[in-house]
Amino acid sequence: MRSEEGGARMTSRALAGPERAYCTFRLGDDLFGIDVRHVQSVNLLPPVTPVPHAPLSVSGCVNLRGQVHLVVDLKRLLGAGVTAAGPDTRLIVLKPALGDPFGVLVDRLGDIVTLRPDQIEDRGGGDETMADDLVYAVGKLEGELLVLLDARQFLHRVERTEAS
Amino acid sequence: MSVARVQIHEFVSEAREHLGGVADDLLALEQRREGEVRPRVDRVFRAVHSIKGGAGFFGCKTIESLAHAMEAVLEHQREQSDPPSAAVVDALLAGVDRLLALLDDVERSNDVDVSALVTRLRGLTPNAVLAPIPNLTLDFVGTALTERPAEHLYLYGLKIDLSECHRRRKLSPLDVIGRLLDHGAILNARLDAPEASLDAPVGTTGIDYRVLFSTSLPPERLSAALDLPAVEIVLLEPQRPTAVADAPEPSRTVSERSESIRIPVQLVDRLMTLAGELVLVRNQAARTLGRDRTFGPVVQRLDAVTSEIQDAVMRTRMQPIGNLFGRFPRLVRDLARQLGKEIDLEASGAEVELDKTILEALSDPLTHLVRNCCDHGIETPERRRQLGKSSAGLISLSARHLGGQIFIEVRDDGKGLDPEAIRRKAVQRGLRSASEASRLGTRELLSLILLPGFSTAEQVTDVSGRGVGMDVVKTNVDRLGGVLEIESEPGRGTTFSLRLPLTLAIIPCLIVTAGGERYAIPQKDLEEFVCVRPGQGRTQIESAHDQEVVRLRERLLPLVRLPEVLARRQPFTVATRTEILRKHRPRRDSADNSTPLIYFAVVKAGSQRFGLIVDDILTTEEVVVKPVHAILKPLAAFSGATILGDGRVALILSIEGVARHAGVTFDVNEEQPLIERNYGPSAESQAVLLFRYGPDEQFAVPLATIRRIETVRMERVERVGEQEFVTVDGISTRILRPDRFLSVSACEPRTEMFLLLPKNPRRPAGVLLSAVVDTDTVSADVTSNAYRADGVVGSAVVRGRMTLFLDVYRLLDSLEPSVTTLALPPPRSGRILLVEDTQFFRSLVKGYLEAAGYEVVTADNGAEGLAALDRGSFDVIVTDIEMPVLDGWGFARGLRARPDGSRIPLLALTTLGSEADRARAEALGFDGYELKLDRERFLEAVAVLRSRR
Repeated sequence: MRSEEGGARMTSRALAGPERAYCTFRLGDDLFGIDVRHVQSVNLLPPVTPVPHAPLSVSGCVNLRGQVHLVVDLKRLLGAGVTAAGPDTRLIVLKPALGDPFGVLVDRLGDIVTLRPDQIEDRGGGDETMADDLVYAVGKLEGELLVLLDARQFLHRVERTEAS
Repeated sequence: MSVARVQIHEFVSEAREHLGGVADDLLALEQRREGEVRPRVDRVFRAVHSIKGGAGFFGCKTIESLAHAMEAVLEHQREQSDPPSAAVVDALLAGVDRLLALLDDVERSNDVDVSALVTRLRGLTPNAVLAPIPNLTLDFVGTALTERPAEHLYLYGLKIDLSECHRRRKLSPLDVIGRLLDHGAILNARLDAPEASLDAPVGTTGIDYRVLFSTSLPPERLSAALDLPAVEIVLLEPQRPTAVADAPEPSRTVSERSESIRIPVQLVDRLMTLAGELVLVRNQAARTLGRDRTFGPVVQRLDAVTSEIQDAVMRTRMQPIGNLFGRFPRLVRDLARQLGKEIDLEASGAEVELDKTILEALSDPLTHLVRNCCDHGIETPERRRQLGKSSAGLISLSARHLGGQIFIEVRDDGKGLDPEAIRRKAVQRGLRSASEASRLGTRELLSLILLPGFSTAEQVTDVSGRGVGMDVVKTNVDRLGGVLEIESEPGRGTTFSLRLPLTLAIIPCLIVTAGGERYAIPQKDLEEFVCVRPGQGRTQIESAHDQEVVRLRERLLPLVRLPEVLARRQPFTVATRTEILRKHRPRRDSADNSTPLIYFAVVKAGSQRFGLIVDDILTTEEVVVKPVHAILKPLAAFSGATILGDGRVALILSIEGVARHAGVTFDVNEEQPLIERNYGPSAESQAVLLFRYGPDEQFAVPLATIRRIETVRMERVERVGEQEFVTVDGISTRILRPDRFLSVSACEPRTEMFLLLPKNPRRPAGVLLSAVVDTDTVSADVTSNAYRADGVVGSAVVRGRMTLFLDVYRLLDSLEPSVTTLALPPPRSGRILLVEDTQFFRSLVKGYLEAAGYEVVTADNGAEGLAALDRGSFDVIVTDIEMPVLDGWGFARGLRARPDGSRIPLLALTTLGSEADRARAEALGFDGYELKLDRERFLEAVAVLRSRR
């Protein structure tokens, strides 16, 4: 696939296919999305057992169908505060390919959004901030921007924030 | 899952992946597509090579030998320009199929006979086969090839000239036969003596002895091993459709055990999980419906069925320990031969079953113990005869069930352990001070050999050798929740006894709460549960220095507050403990009945024992252990997670981890009350030296521990940084000021002071004092609750003054890094680049290096390795040789070509063992060459290279 007109630099991820679906959700008021292929399921939040001494971005553990899942506070991972569980809070469980069973907390679930490559703008990776690992591109929706997160980096990031 | 199991699992899945690609490549080669022969052969070679390496590492001999044979064929093919012939591809594909079959049941792969296939492969490599000697005919038609032992992969025809052997080496025919039998089996033999020679003098005409010989020795090693002067060797082609030919293995297995079927372990594990779930459902049902009149009986029935299912499923994972015992006859035989000893082995209880996971994890420790018995326990035959023992030593293995646990014993009738030698060694190694060591009983002394650092690989003395790796054995057993004990009678033998749980997956736990959450304490760590109201009766929570303690039946028990442990992320320091102490200090003014009840569980971690204060105790429950997420693994306080009856997750506490976090320190001989511990059980009177340092305190030290008191002129004291030294008897002696290590008053500067020199210190050092008061005999009624710190035994009022009783050795110890740090290898530092294509070796080696304290950056091949050099600097580079894209040779060339690259030490870590490879490595500028994979050797090599940098 060649890059098309419009000057948008394509990420290698975006180039992998013509259109891609993203599972969107809100953290606070901001809209985020992750590749739907990384999502295993979306769940109501079961009672969370806190894990003392765990990295700060780990909310705790939950039982989902007999398996213990790690719960990651995505907001905290992004350095945007702490998630307060409410009626709209959901746990997005990621595919096993991404590591031991885990899910991320989101404030509210959005739609599944399909984006064409020309709707995606690579973040460029100029600055070496930590957020670069997580936020890799921005999707241009009508009237709103969709921040695309790389779900494969979630666990690495949890480990790194602990180390630091 | 144990580390070893995870790794072998990784190896198997990786090997499978490799083989998938190999089959494709081989098929493509067979179709003789143009232009892509070489890369395909290379790829196949690398895949087979890494399987060989992994198999060798995990002791999968059969897989290794088959892969080795395939590798040899491929090696030969690499030198050819033509694509491989159909026969070659055919044989290699057969090899691939067989490898896949072996990998399916890798545990038992060593029991499979692949000799026919190996021989067939060998037939395809001209350089491996010795050229047939035309005039040597060996027609042993009809010899039952099945009779040869499975490990005898090679079949040879030998022609030996007996008269030459006699003439040149004075070897009688019996010597020759003996030598053959030492290395293999004589399947058939014929003696060809020309008729004429019967009349001729012996040794003038040849006497041909022709032997059909089977052995595990490959052609390149056979002739050196036999070391006979006149022998011709022919590696025989397999006699194809005989009994050992490629009979399909699985069908044979099935017909032999018609009553069993094979089930993938994953399926059993899945069943296990489901059974665990069922237990949870049952618990839930029992909780909600158990009292209901209608449902009650149903729940009871559910309960019974569930228990049975759980039991049955558990049994599917059980395997007889005979599977493990079965390997020892061979091991013992080989070791005995190697060591020149005679050793018999007997085993009982082979039918005792235990969980597969435990069995797997037991393999290493048991092997080590048996080895230890052979190596260090059993004496040489001569020595044994001198002692009036039978010349053959006996090692007995036994296993039996008792009360839900498995007892395994490894016993030898050898020389036993000498407690005195261990005592000396422990002091010499700095594991115990001389005074401590002198107070230890026999059993405690024996258990010292289990400490890390008790002995090193140098094996200087009999006893030192006995400790090699014993700490590893203990760690492995601990990890399984087992107990390892040693009994020994000098001259009579040693017994190692192991006590293990039957299974691991479901464990009874005590459920407690702390900080509003529930936690499970495994029953095995629990001794009793105590509920006290402080201030009533004799139960008091007291403080000893920064540690809370309680008197429980006249023994002092350290206390750890679980809520505080959980609330604090950082391991406790003295400051933390002091803060906690202050927080919970009982207020004197409060009335007795207002003090809350305190619950604590008396728990043990290894030989340590302490009270764990919790908020509340709920119930005991059988819980299914669930693995914790990888991210939580580093948290020492938890060993796992579980799901309780209400469906919520609870964490399982690791008592050992909690103890470590809280920094509770204990002594091995915890059986004695703390008060008496430091001065032995005789709590009578003793002679002490009373002295002063600062104005406020008086100190006492037992006279028995003092060498002498030396006067010190303070102007002659030298300062090195924070430390002070003075020369005593020509030796620079470290000065210890009590106020630097204890919170006692400081001393006014003065021109002359005194130095108390203890007997037999580990290092020249002495305690500084301002004035000697007197010597006195005091009753050792020393109370420990008023003041307790490292080096302070306790306090008492002597001659009307508060007096601190010191343990000088402890005090001196505190000058040095703590004993536990000493025992560990010194921490290393440095950045290491590890270039390795095989994923599991990469993670394994990385783990080794990181455990040794290095920072490790990994690269998947030479090209990535070179790229990594651009991104950072390294102190040592470790590289594999056989790798895709850019191999180790290419990497070395690239590295040395760089302006900055010539100085970085480069170590090869490879399975390529030939001299040619070593020479090549040296020529390319490698600084070291290590074979995969001896951890100690490897780390040593890295350390040496690092220090050179």
